[in-house]
Amino acid sequence: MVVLRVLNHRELEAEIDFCVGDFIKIGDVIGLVTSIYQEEPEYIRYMGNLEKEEVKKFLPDVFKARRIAKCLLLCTENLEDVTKIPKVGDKVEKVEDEELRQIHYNGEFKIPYLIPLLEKVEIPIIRALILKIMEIIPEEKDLLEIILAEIEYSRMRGVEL
Amino acid sequence: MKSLLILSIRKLSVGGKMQKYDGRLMYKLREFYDTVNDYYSSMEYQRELIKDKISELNKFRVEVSEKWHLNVLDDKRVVGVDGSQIMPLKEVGIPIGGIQVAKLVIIHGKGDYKIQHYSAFAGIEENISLLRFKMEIDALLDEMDGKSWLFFDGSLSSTFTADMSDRLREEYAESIKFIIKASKKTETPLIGYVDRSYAKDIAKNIGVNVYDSYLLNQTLSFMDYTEMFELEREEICFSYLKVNPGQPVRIECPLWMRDIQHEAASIVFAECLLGSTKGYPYVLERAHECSKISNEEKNDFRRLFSRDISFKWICKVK
Repeated sequence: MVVLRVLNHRELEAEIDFCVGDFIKIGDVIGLVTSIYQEEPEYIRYMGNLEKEEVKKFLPDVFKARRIAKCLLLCTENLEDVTKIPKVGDKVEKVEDEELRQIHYNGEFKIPYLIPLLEKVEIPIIRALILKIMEIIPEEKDLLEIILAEIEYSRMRGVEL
Repeated sequence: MKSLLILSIRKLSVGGKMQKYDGRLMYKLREFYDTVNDYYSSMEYQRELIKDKISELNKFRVEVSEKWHLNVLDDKRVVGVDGSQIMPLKEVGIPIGGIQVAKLVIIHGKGDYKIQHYSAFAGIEENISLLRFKMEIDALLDEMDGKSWLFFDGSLSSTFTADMSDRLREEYAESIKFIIKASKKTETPLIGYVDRSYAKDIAKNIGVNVYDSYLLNQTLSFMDYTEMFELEREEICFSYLKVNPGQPVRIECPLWMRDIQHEAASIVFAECLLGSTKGYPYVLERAHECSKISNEEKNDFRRLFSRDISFKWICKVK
């Protein structure tokens, strides 16, 4: 599971098996999976007169299409801005709950990347992220519920009914 | 008189001596065209002279039905290795290059495969092509299990090292000898696949100076192949196969594989039919795809590591 492409200083693409909303770690940089797409499988080039099942058995390496995850870089492990951008080929790991808790709750609760994130990703992803943090830091559940409600309300205000 | 002189000069240039012209290269397209024509006429002339001798060579043919290649490859473990390289980036102050080798192992018909990558860095004083060659050979040595069919993209004969320094020649020869010996000892079939061969082994034997593949192009029909010939002074045999409408390809194998030459030819034809072009072995095509260092990656490499840019290079690229 590695970085495939660096799109800009905030976004990159990686070949990983995670889900949208999962937290990732590349070195000391923390990111979030914001979308996933599947590359067009290469087997179409090789099919000719073969059945799909034959391609799967005889040309197995072209059968599997890669799942590519688009990731947004949030901060460093110390919740500081990302200044060192990951490189193509860098290893991508999933951030476990315990580590995620330590990053956000070290004596006091901090989530500094939330405001810039609101401008970048869709509400369902933000909601999933806040629910995730709520689950691992139950002490801050009340505060996070208020934040979530405020986000949803502010978005609703923007919708013309 | 003048035209006779030009013709004789062209003949000399075909023989290896350099013919120089005044003026820009792109204004000499006519001369280039004539040189190529003379070159092919000369080869054609020599081929005609020995036509009868060529037709006496033993040749064989595989009869192919619709999914013949799948039957041949079913349950076969096939390994392909290829590599690519980034030459030392002198222009941006990095006297170090990189090598990437990919090995693809497939068990056809079972849906099993694995891809392994190996990489290394090499300083400007080292020969990157030799290091890459050694890495590719090493990757194949790990697969000497007595049942896999190993494909190497290139020649196993040391004739391609003829113009190299003694040290390089010896190092190539040592690697080749080692893998040939390992193949023999473990009875693991090894195929050096030369897509465009300019070897003249058969031609020299007959007494002409033409490429074997050109010589055999009209004699071999699609899906034909020649007998295995022994390469003098090397533990290698070779054969030519017409795997596509182009010129025959050459395969080189350890000498012990003469006994299984028909099976080897079938495997090569079947692998070619599986490839996207139907004329180049699938396992090598995929190994190449995996080993390739894209231009994007090369640019990233340059961007990340550039130090002291050469001003000569800036003059050239501006």
